[in-house]
Amino acid sequence: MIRLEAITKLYPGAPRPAVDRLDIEMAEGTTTALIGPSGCGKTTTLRMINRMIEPSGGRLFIDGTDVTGLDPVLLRRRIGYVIQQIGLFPHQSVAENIATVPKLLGWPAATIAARVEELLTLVGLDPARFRDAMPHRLSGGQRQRVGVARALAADPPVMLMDEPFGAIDPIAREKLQDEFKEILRRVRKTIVMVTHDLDEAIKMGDRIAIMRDGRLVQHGSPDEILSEPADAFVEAFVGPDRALKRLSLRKVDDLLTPGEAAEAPAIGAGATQREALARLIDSGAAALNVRDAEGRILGHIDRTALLDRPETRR
Amino acid sequence: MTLLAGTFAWMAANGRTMMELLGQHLEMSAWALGISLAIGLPLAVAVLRSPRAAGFAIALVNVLRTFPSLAILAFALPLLGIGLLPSVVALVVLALPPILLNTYVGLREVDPDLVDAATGLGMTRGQMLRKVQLPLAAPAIFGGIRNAAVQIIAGAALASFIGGGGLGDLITAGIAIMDVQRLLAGAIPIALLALAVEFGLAFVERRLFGKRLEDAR
Repeated sequence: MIRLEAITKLYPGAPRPAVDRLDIEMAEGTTTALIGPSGCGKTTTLRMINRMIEPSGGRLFIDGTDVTGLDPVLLRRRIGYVIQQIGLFPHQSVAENIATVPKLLGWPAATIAARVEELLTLVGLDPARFRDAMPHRLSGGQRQRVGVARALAADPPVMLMDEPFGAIDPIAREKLQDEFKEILRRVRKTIVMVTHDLDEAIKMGDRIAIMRDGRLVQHGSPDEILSEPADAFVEAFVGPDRALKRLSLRKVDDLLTPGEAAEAPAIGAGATQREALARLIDSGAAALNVRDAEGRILGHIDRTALLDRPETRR
Repeated sequence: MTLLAGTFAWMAANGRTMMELLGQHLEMSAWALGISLAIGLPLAVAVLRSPRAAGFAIALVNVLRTFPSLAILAFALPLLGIGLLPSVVALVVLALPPILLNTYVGLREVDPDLVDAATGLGMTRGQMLRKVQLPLAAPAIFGGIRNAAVQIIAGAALASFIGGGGLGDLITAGIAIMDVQRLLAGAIPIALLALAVEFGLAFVERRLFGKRLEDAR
């Protein structure tokens, strides 16, 4: 659990604080997406959590302990850190990169080696193939997998991610987001992720915190943010297509009607309702059959069921 | 041809003197290089975090470097007397700029994202220097050392003017008594020594960092 109490960052000579008395609590095991326009203070907030930036005021608690007075170096070894530029050490192998924090903590070599294997497997890289590879041989997506493995190496309770998909090309990005979401769900860390991409925040975040001018404007689940924007700023920020974005939070499985629809195209179970809507528009059909992975028809969804919303069906 | 043959004959006839002067030359050079490293490397690290201090230190060593070595020897003479010490001081002045500058630039050009990552992972400044910055700056630092070593070997020829010894003694003596064979017996080994250091260290550099430089491309 992370709790910020009136955290403030005021740079000398700046007209207003970069972060202004920010109060926020992030529950254990959840992912919070920090989002807002550039200059809103989201990155400053993230970097104050591991004291890469010293707060000018306020207090910071991690798992109930006030860490404001702790040695920042020791604090950082208990907080995973992933950055947009990834920052793998180019003169070290993948295994050495991942071993960085365990080595700083003085773990025995055998423990470190076993942990490296475990983490490579977790992030979907074959240890035999990648353990001794040098970072420049890897693709952007593979590098960030190693970046996440390195951040998780000493099993920190908290992980900070600053635009973790920013350096990944758009084609690979979506797949990596899906995989990271699954990895993050498995490791059960308290994660704070800075992003400027609302779709990414909606996809990755259990909670979204929207910031503006150094203040927290709204903090809630993606569905809350999309259905009840706190003010005109949030409404404009989430955009006129927020109804569509909400559809992307829901699965077709929730709207299933038993039985197969005649002459209807099919969509896989687990697809989002937004994808279903796109298929309906695309095909001009009145319904879609929902199929499981083996191709069995689980039921169908009607165009009317999909469109009958959003206010009436929340 | 006869001149060269005469030179080699002279060298062969004065084998012990040659070895003694070569020894002095190498000893003086080793001291100068060692002291330059002992000053230049820590100084580069010390000024790393302050661009102003770095600018000052680099400007200072560069100004010192613009004085002709002979002039520095002349300055050193009344202060430090004659012999090995003032010669080494003059050579350190010669060798400091490439070592300081290459080390500083090498350290500073380490990708800031790596410094950010290393800090965020919980490295202290010393650990970051040892594990990240110095290894990545090593090729640049080594290049500076190579440059400095060659300058020292060649520059050490002048030490003879203030009694520093070395192969330069043969050159000064050769000029004084108009003995070209003796002069060349000093000049040729110095030139060969400088070339050997240049190519030897370049070879070591390729062995150490060649793969990395290739990979970076």
